[in-house]
Amino acid sequence: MLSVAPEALARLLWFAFYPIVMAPVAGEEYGRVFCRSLVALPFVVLIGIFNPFYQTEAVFTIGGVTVTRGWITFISIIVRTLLSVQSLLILVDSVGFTGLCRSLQRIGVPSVLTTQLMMVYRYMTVLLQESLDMTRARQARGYRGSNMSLNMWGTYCGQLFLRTVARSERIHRAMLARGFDGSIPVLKEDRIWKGKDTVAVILSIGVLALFKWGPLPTFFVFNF
Amino acid sequence: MSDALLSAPVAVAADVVAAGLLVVASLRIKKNASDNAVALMGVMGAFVFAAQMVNFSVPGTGSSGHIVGGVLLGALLGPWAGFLTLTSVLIIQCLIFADGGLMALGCNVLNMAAMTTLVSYPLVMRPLLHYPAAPWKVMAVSVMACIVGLELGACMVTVETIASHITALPPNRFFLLMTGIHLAIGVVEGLATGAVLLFVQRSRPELLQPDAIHRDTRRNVRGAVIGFAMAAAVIAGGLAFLASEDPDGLEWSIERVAGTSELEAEHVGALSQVAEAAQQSTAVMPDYEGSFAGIAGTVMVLILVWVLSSLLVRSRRRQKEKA
Amino acid sequence: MSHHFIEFDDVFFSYPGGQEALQGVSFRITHGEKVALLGLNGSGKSTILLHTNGLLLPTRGTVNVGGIPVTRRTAPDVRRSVGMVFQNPDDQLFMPTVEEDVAFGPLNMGLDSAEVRRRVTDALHRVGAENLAKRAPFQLSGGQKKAVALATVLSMEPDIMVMDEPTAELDLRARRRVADIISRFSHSCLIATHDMDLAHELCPRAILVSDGRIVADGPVAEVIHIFTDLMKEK
Repeated sequence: MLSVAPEALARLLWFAFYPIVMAPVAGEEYGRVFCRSLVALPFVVLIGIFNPFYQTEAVFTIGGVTVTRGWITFISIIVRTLLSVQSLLILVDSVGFTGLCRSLQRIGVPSVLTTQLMMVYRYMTVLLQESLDMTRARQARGYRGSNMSLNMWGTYCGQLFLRTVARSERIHRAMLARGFDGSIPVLKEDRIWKGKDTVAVILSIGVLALFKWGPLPTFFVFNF
Repeated sequence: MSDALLSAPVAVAADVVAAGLLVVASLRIKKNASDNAVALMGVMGAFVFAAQMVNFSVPGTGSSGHIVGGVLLGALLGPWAGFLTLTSVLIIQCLIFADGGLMALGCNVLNMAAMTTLVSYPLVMRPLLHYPAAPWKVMAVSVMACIVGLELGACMVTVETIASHITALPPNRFFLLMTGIHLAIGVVEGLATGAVLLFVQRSRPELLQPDAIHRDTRRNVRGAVIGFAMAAAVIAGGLAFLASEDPDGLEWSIERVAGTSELEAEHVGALSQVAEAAQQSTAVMPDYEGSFAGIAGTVMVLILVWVLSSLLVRSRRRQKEKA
Repeated sequence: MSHHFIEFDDVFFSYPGGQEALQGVSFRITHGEKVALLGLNGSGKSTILLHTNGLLLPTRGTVNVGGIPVTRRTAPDVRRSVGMVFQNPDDQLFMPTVEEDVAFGPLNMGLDSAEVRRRVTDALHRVGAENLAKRAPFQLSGGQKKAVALATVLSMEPDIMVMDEPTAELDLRARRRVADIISRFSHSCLIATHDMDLAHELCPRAILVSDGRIVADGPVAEVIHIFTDLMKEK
């Protein structure tokens, strides 16, 4: 969706309406979403920072400062990252991760994958706690510093792996004890697809298409 | 890989191939794996997160690192289960930690998960490493497998990025940068992977024996070859796309692969052509002055909408509190 | 309701590593009985529990549940009548929300969704956790997790409840709540525990296991007494 030419920054900015409007619809403040989306910056800046050095032809000048094409494409790369991350954050926050998994399953994503996602999500915190406990135990026995030597890390990780295997065996037993036969059943939702949802989808697609191809007005004209 | 650096056709092509591989993986796991695979793969995905949380110090440097874990998951779970597990980790990193972006997910799955679990593990590590093995051999093979896996990933990143035409970095530099970085990362990842495998070999060697999850070795290799062929198809597709959009693009890539050093002059020419083309295409839209006005105007309207919407949220929250 | 019974007849079991876990265990638990299973760590308590559910099968001897000998083939049926609550609720609660976890068992039994919903509500009500239905397991306290873990098994409406350390790692108040919940069960119960007070409070009868053998079986006070003496000897 966000694939407009790197130079067309003005057009790209239009897409920002989407997260700004959708955030309150999903019950969130755009400011917070914006701040959280900043985590995506470092990698993109690293790659994009080369643009100003390679695309040095001047595009326009504002008050004596020459803006080159490279800077415009650089900004455009950053804007596009922030926008895609923001829409993603709004999506996950509004439906919830498991809601998302279940919707995926309903539209035909293999249950092996959706179950896997739910399991990883469920046990992420449990294992992080376990790993934290192991780190504390190590510190309690007098190891200093946050980094381990590679050898020690191998032992730590191997140990964690053995615990993981043991845990998976216990979970598997708990599943079997409650009649597990290889696939995880899903409780049917009360909520089904309503006419309202169809309208929302068509509207979103329409608006995004307008941003991408439609004629867009320019609101203010500055003269320099 | 990140959304920002990808054009839609490249991202969608990668998404389609990644989705295809996932379907194949799901079907194979459903058919072949023992039913405790559900629990094991699930917790192993969580294991990857936990293992990535704790850094180790990189030998010979002052810095610290963590692993991605592709080859390790391949070695512990087998290619397909490892692939699905690492993919689930990437999906969660993308959705919850906003890592990379949704469009780039397909690319990331191919670059980071498929290249290690479906290509490098079955084609490099499995044929070379038979347990029990001497420690130096475990280490050497791990390093080799990780380098191969990560370098393949780096090549994929280069091709995808260049086919997308969004970064202005010249392809040969980008390629050298990516492969250089990934050579170093590959060595470190390999050492870490080897260290874990050594520990498991010492304490629970039976866990490294092929079990129900990774039985039918021969067919798995065939699967990996298919995966590799599909990856090659994406690369080829990307190159074709490059060629169709910009006639010089393919030449760059071919010369890059052939390692010609006369690239620079050629390359500058190509870049200016791209610039010209870009200028022509943007000429249809308002000229640059106008577009600056457009940018400023749009930014102001955005700020306005933002203020309005946050007011909306606040008033709604107040209503809720009253209720 | 006399078909709600578990009978072990001279059961031997050794783990793949060759370790002899059970060496001739025989006992019988009948309708509505609440029995505590006592013993030190590694004495074979958990191994016995896993046999009631067909999760482990005897290498010699038979386990009989409600008239059906437990084999690989009958295990799925046996699991409908024997509900097993594991020690660590984090292992038991593997679904993203409490509600789905409680629904997991009934759904596997092939019940329709109206019936599944009824059972979920009912089971959560019985452990006093209706308000937790939409929560994720990691948002729960230890006591809440344990209560919900009980509900996941109650929703299958088993005839016999088998529990491994229901009060382990709980604070006093949470322990009290779990004990209250269990005391209201009308099921036959087999409870493996280190919690002597719990055994005393809930179970008229106790079985003491040591080194894979049953060393005492009788009124709970007497068995606890024997257990204390045994520990002194060791």
